[in-house]
Amino acid sequence: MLMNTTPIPELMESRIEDRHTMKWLRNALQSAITLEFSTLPPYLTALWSIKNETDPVAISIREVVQEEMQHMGFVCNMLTAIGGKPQIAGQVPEYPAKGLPGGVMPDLVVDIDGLSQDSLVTFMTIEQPEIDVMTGKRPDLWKPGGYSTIGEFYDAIAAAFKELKPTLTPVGQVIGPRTGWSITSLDSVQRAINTIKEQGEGSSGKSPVDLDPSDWSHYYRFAEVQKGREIVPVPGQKDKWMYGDQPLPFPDVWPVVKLPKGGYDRDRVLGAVSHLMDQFDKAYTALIDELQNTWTNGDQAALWRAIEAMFAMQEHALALMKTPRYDGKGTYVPRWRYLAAEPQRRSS
Amino acid sequence: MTVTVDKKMRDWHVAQTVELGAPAKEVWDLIGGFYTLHKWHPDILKTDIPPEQTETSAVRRLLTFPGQPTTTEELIMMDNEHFHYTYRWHAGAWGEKVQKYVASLRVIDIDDGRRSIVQWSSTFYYFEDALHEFYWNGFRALQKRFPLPPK
Repeated sequence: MLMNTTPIPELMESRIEDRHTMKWLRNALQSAITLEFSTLPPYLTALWSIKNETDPVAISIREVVQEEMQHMGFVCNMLTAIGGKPQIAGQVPEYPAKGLPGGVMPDLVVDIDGLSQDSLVTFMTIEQPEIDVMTGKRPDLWKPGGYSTIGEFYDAIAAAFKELKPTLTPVGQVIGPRTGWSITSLDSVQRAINTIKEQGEGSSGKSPVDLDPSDWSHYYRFAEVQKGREIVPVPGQKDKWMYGDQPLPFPDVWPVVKLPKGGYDRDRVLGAVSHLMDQFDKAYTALIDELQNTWTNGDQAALWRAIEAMFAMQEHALALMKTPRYDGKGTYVPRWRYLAAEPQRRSS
Repeated sequence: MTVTVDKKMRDWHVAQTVELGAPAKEVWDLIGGFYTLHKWHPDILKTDIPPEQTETSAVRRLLTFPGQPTTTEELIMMDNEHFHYTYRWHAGAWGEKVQKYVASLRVIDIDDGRRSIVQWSSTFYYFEDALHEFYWNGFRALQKRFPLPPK
């Protein structure tokens, strides 16, 4: 999921294969880590663009972000379990991005933008189930050699685990409420994959709920906001759902405009804005470095430091979202740049 | 007997400096943003972005002091490369007393970048130096954060 569209060999290795190898599995898991991580910048930007943090939509998206963090934790543990080394700092996505890592939805463009009808459509596409139980529609982003849903990609990973039956070691895994359980058996792999799929797209394409019957999966959470109506059970019918009459008001958002391709024009960005962007990127870099520390060193405390970094990011992001752009087109969004990766960058 | 205090208003130009035991870049990291004053100055409870900010191209901050009315200040320029910004009073009761307030905050490397000097300077129209204590409250906090190495 990278701004320059040059294919990255490691990510392309996880293309659809008839037979899997350990190399394929390692690459696919690394792609899945990058994929889960890559949802955080667009989701967090949309979340922070909501003026009222306690708006039901903000609460719902915040839960989605927390679950994405846990999904990443699951996959980091899976890769660690087979002797791999999760790379977070080395695989930082850039935006706007074309396609999701691992060959998932290769034509999907993901922008950094505030919460809007457009961004909701993108989020629903990212989380799309095999069948939308509300509309009966199937995804239309299928491309030969690619996966049409994230769930399909995880099914391939689950199949590879079953096929290869790799030795699974608990050494180096990080266990906790934000990272999931220990991956030491094929059953624990499958449970983790089921959790990722059901929290993302719903219960096996049959229901909008995730594992918790009172929670909608990510796709349907975004769908409710996009429709402006809450999902409710169809009266008198078991396991049937519809958009009810209860409105779900679209929250008041800061007037942000999506991040331009190639970033902002450094010569036109005010010094105060440039400072905010730099401070945001420093906090983002701290987040990534702490996440990397978490799995490089099996350090649970680093994970909490990463979460602290996220609060600093939010403060700078909010200041940017309240500041008009140099071209008069709305306000700024963060650039989401990892500073250690390419220190030679000059543009804003 | 009545004591008469001379409250004759006049133009002031004050400049205060403090030497710190850290490079300018490190000090600027803390004090350089326009919304960061509360992070290092003990007299500022919080720095907010005014609600009207999205409607104006001017960059403004809303400062909250303990037990005093808020003050809105407007950025005139910020030069990150040279660790320097200039701002002025925009709204609030304080600036109606201390008039025409324009200030600059600058960090300068010394001793080959091993130490730095922060200079806070301003011009205003008032009957006395209204800023000395405020600037030094901030400087003392910076001295604690960036102490000079022992000689």
